Amino acid sequence: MVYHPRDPAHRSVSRRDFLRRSLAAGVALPTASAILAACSDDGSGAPEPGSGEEDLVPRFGTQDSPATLQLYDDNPAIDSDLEPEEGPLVLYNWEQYIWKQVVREFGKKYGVEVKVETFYNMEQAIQKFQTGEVDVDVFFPTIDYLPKLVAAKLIQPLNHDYIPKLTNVWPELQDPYYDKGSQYSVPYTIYTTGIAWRTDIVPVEPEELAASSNPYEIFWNSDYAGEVGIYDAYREALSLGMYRDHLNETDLNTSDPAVISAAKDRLIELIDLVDVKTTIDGAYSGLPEGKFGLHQSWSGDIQAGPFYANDPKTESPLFRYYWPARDGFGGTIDNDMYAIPTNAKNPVLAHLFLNFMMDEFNALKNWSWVGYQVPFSVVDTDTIFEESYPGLEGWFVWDYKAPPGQHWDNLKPTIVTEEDIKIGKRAIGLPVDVDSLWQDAYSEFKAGA
Amino acid sequence: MAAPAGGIVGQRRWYYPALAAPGIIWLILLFILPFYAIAAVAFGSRDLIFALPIPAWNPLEWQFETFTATANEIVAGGGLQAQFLRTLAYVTISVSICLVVGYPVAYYIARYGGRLKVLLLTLMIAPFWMSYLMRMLAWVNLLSIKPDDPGLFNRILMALPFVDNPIVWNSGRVSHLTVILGLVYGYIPFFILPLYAALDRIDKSQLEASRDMGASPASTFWRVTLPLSKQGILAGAVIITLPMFGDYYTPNLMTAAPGNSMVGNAIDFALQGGQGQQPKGASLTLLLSVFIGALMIYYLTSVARAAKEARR
Repeated sequence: MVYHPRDPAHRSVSRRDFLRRSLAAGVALPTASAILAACSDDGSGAPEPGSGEEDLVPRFGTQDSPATLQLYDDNPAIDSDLEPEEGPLVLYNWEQYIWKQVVREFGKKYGVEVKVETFYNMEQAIQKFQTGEVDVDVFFPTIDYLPKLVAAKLIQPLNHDYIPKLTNVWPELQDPYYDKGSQYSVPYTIYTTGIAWRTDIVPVEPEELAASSNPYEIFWNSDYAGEVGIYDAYREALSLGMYRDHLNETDLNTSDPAVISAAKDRLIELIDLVDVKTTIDGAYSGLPEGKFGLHQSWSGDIQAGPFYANDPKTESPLFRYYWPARDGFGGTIDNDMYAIPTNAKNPVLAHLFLNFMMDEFNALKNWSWVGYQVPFSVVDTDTIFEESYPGLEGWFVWDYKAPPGQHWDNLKPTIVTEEDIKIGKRAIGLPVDVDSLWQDAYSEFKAGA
Repeated sequence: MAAPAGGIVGQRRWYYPALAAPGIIWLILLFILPFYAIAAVAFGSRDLIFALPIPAWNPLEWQFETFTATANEIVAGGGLQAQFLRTLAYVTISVSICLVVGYPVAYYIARYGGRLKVLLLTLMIAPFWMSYLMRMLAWVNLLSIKPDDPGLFNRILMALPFVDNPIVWNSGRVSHLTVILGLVYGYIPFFILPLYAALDRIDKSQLEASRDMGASPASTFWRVTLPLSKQGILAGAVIITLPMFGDYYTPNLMTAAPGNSMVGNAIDFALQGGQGQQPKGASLTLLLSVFIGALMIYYLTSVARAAKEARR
C-alpha cells in the first residue's frame, strides 16, 4: 500500500505544528493555501479552549454525532437587505445536473445573465478554485467535501434572511447532521443507492428480494453472468461488498483494513462469478437500453429509465428498483447541496438563486428534467405519482409514454421519503490515510487480478 | 576597412542550427515541461485537507516513497502487475495482428495500386475521419446483445453453419479478443501508412535484379522486400505501440470489465478517480515511460544499424 495509515510520512502532526506551518508559509491569517501547506504532512486535533487558535480541521459529522461547522471572523456571511449585484451569476456544477430552462427563468426574474460552468469531479473543481481558474457564485459540493471546504475557507456562511424558502425542505435537512443549522449549505437533491434490474433478464420481483435473507446476494448470482454492473465509484462499489457481508451492520466509513480488504475480495469474486462491469452510466442508460440486466443504482438513475429505453411503452414496466434498507438490510442514502464560494462576485444574487431553487415549483420542475428528487415536504410518494404538482402534470418520467391515466408505478420505490433519511446509512468524508485504504482496495479490484 | 574576421562565417554557423529552434521550443513546451511536471507530482506530496498533490518543483526536495512503492507493487504481483502483463499481451498481440493484416494491404497498394494508389489510401483512411470515440461506440453497438436482439455482428456470424448461439463479446475470455479487436481497428491505419511509405520507396530495380539472378517471387520477397521494409515495420509498430500502452478508453468502451483493464486504466483511476492518488498515477506514468523508453532505444539502435548497413 502506498498510503498506509502506519506510514510515518503520513502520521498526524499536532495542532500546533499545523498552525506553525501555516505561519511559516508566510500567512498571518491562514488562507486556504496556507492551510494546505500546513497540511502537507498531515493534521488533526482540535484547538485548546481559550487558546485563541482557529479550528482549521475539517469536522466530519455523522448521524450519531452531528457537526456544527466552524465560523471564522475573517469569513463572515454577507449582511442582510443588500441589493443584488448585476451579475452575471455563474453556477459551477456537474455536467447535465441542472435544467438550463429553470436557470434562465431565474435570470429573467432578476434581469441578469446566468452562466453554467461544469466540472468533471470534485478534485478538479477544487483545484480550479484554489488556482483561481474559475470565478463562480454557486457551487454544488458533495457531503464529504463540505467540511474540507469550510476548513479551507473556500465557501462562505449563508445568510438565511435571503433564503426563507428553505422551510420547504424536509425539517431533517434544514438542520442536517453534516452542517447543523445549514450554516454553509442548503440541500439540492436526494437519492438512495439500491438495486435496479429489468425483469425480462432478471425475472425477480422486489417482494422476493425482501423475503430473502440477503438481497445483496443477487449481484453474486452466476445465473446473471454478463448482465451485472456496479458503479465505477470506489465508495459505492466497496460499500456493496460490505453490505453483502454485514447488511445493516455495515459501517460505510470504516477505517478497518480487514473489513475494506474483505469487501475488495467480495468484489473480485464478482469478476469470476458474473464478469461484473464497472460503469457510471450503466444504471440510467445501459440497463434501460438492455445492455445490463442488473445494476447497482442510484434511485435517480433508474427513475430516468423510461427516457433511455429503446421502446419506453413496452420496456418501462420491466424496470424494478429495490432499496434494501426499507426492509432492515441496510442501504445508503445521500444528498447533494448548494454552497456559495468565499470569493463569489455576486453573493447576494447567489443567495437569491438558492432561495429561487428552494421554491417548490422551481425545484420540482428541475427534478422533472434532472431526474434527481428534491427533498421537499410537498413530495409524497402517492400524491406525486397520481396528482403530480400543479403546473407540472405529465412532466415527470413516470408519465413518459405511459398509457393515458396511468403511470409507471413500478418506479415508486425510487421516491425517497423523509423516513428514509432515518434508516439510510451515510458515507461521510474520510481522513486522507483512511481514504487511501479504500482507494487502494478499489484499484486492486479494478485491476482485475 | 576590413570586414570583421569570421563575421559571415559566424552568421552561417548559426543559420542552420537556428532552423531547429521551433522544434526545440516545441519539445521544451510540450514534452520536457509536462514531463517535469509529472515528475514533480510523482516525487511530491499531498495536502491533508483535500489530498491534492503538492508538486515538488525543486529536485532536492523530491521524495521517492510513492514511486518506489508503486514500482514494488508492480514487481511484487497483484493488481498492478496483472494490468502491466495484460497490457503487454494486448499490445503484443494487437501489433502482431496489425502486421499480419496491414502488411499485405500496404504491399498491395505500394506494388499494385498503380494510378489508384491515392484513391486506395484515401478509402483506407476514410473511416478514420470520424472520431475514435464514435468508431468504438459503433463497435459497441455492433457487438452488443440486447434481450430481443443478438446484435448485427452476431446475426452475420449466426448465418454461418458453425455458429449456433450469439457470442457475448463483452464477457468471459472472449472479452480479451474484443479489446484486441478494438485496439487493432483503432490503430491499424497508423501502422499501414508508414509501412506503405517504406514499401513504396523500394527501388524496383533491386527486385528485378533479384529475379534476374534466379530468385523466386517468394525468395525475392523474403530476401529483398521484407528486409528493405524493416524500417517501415518498426516505424509503424512504434507509432501504434506507444499510444496502445497508454490506452484506457478502448477497454472502457468495449467491455468495461475489470478483467480487461490496462495500465492506462490504472493511471486514469489514479488521476481522475479519487482523492490523493495523483502521485501514484504520476509514478505509474513515469514507470510506463521507462518501459516504453527501453522499446524506443531498441527501435533507434535498429534504425541506426539499418542506416549503417545501407551506407556500405
